[in-house]
Amino acid sequence: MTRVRSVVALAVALVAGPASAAPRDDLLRVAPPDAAVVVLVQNGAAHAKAVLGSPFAAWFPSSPLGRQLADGLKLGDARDGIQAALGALGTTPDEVLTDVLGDAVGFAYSPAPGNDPAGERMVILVRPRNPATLTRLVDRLNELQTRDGELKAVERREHGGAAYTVRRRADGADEFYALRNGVFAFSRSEADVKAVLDRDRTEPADRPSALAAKLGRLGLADAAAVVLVNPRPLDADVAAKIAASEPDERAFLGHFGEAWKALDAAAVYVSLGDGIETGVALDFRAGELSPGARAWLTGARTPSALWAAVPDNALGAVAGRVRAAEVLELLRAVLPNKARAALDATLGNTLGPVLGRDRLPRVLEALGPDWAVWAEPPAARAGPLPVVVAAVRLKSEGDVPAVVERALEFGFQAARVAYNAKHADQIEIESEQDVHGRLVTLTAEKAFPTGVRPSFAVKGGYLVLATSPDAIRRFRPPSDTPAGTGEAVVARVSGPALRGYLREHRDALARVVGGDDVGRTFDQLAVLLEPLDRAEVVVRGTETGVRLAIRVRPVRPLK
Amino acid sequence: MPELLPTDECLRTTAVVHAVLDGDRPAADLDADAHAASCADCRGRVAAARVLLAALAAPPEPVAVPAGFAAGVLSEVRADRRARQRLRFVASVGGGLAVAAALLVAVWAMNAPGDRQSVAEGTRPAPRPVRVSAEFAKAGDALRESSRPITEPAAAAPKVFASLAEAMLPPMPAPMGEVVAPAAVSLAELPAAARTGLEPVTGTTQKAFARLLRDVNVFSSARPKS
Repeated sequence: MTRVRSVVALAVALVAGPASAAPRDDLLRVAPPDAAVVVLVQNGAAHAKAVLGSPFAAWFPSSPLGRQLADGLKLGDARDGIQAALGALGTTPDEVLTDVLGDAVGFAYSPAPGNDPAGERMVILVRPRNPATLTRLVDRLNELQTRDGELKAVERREHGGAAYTVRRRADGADEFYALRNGVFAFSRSEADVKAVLDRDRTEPADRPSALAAKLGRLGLADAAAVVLVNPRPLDADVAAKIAASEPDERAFLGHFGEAWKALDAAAVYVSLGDGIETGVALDFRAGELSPGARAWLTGARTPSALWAAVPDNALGAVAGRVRAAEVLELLRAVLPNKARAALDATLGNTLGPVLGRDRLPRVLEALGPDWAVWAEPPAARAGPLPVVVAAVRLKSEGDVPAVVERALEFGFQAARVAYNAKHADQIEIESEQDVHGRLVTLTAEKAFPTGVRPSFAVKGGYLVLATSPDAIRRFRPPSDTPAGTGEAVVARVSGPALRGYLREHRDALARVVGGDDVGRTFDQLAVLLEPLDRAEVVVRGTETGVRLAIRVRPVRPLK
Repeated sequence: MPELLPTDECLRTTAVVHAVLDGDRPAADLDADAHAASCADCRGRVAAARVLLAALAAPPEPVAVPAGFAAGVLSEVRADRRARQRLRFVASVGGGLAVAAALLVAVWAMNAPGDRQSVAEGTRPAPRPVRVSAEFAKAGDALRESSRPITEPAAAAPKVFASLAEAMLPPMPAPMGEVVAPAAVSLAELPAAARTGLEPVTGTTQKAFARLLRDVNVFSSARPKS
């Protein structure tokens, strides 16, 4: 039952779009501003109406996944249960959604302090569109539960001139609620309901509350559902966790602790538009961050120029803008001493001798910032494995491109020699020159799976590696770096491309991977991907924070 | 070829290994396990158990432990822990999506034209006393069951794709692997460190939702337990 209720609350949240700000602000005005966790679900009725009337909702139940869910849903049981329960309360799902839960619902929670286990705080808040409906339903519920012997009594009390009610449960766990100025508060703690009544009396209604201001700074004022975390009540726990951490974790957690102290608010959220977006948002007191942390955690983002080179039919891709030297610097900062030494030794013992130890820093500076890795469907009769391509910008500084090219060729030669020494079949190395540069490829009959021919080239200022030379021949270096818009896509998955690939190569892939259930898993994955047109991971930066989100675009609009 | 999921034989072999290490079965049972001959993973388990038994049985004698054995065991343990964490994450995300999708179907069904009449009928006073808690519980169970078509394949997907990646990339030549391994292990530990730092947040949020479920459980039976 509780699951259904939470799911209904979640469902109510499923849909976004700016509606009146008043219900949210009314609710947040009386919520405890210092609670560790505040959850808000808003505009549920409008969202639900839009989603249920959307092209997606019309299509989904008839899709393979929709049919599977409907078959497994035991709709009769679910429908009968909900209808019987709401019928007993004298209401309908529409009325509950529209009049009671549809504008703003939420709750605020603070854990018990370590020295006071009874100090846990929790209050549930509802800002109904029609308070009279909620009053009627609560009265009816009290009546039914009194009849069933679950409630011993329902008592009315007063605090500061405002009325509230006690539900005296038969098991002794009393519950308290109040409906004041359009906001309903419910708690198992009398003090929490009284505190709501106090805030209703003292908090101004003509300006945003502290919680509303935090949501605004996070850019989530209109999100359909938000789990807002106030860092300060958790400071002691975080500090204790860092103090008790393993030595290997301490370097990282030291930096984590510094960033935590500068963190002003954090949230996990869900927003709905044509598609659905869910993510994490952080807002810092930027001046308190170290320069290094500020560079990673705040500021506008620019997408990788290489997105222009990723083909439309790519199954999936990741891309970003960061120099290799910056990544290395970050890793050296967060790794423990032993691991930092291991990283340095790894670089020194692998890349150092090949590139020349004196050149290594210059090469790392020259690699990036634009990079991307993507997977394309294989060509016809080229086996079932996708073609994987990796590209990174290579600055033309001095002899760096030539050094990198020589180093990669050495790596290919070393791999070839190592393999050939132990196998009857032999790997050959091929090289072709065109106007863009030299393309180097390893070929073999048995050493690589069908269709896989590791290749590399330095082309148009980019170092490109791929599992097929054809992919490098097709690679078109992007001409410009896109202007920063504050948002950057860092990963992308194409539903139609993945579905098509899985269906076309199902049997061959199952043979490659092995195992009896793989084919069925591929079939089911294809069904799961049916509603997905595209999923993207995006990063948005502001002057004081960052937001990392997954944005899902379904095959038909959600609204 | 990488094995996707442990087979029943793998589970039986693992159980034998555990029983032998616990002293519940004789070491000779390791030799009697035929499955290990045909399964590389189980062969590794049996070999590791033999090394451990040898070390425990004859401490004064130098035991020929393979080079990198301890690092390998630690690495395997860490990899296993990370794999389980990834699976849990995928399962929870899949579960969330599944519930949302199931709900969409359910709400659609509740709003289907043919059902409107029955919803309206539901608003009439029930002919017999209805226990609200029992009715909501029934609906909850039905919705929970519905998420399986999504959660099961979603949980299996990462392992399948990992196997595909493994098929494309032949094992790294040993010398290079040894050089890269220490740094790779250290980097792979970073997400665990991040999880440690975030535990106060995740733990508090989990508690918050647990309290919510407890507190909104106003329909549950409040009768004292006899």
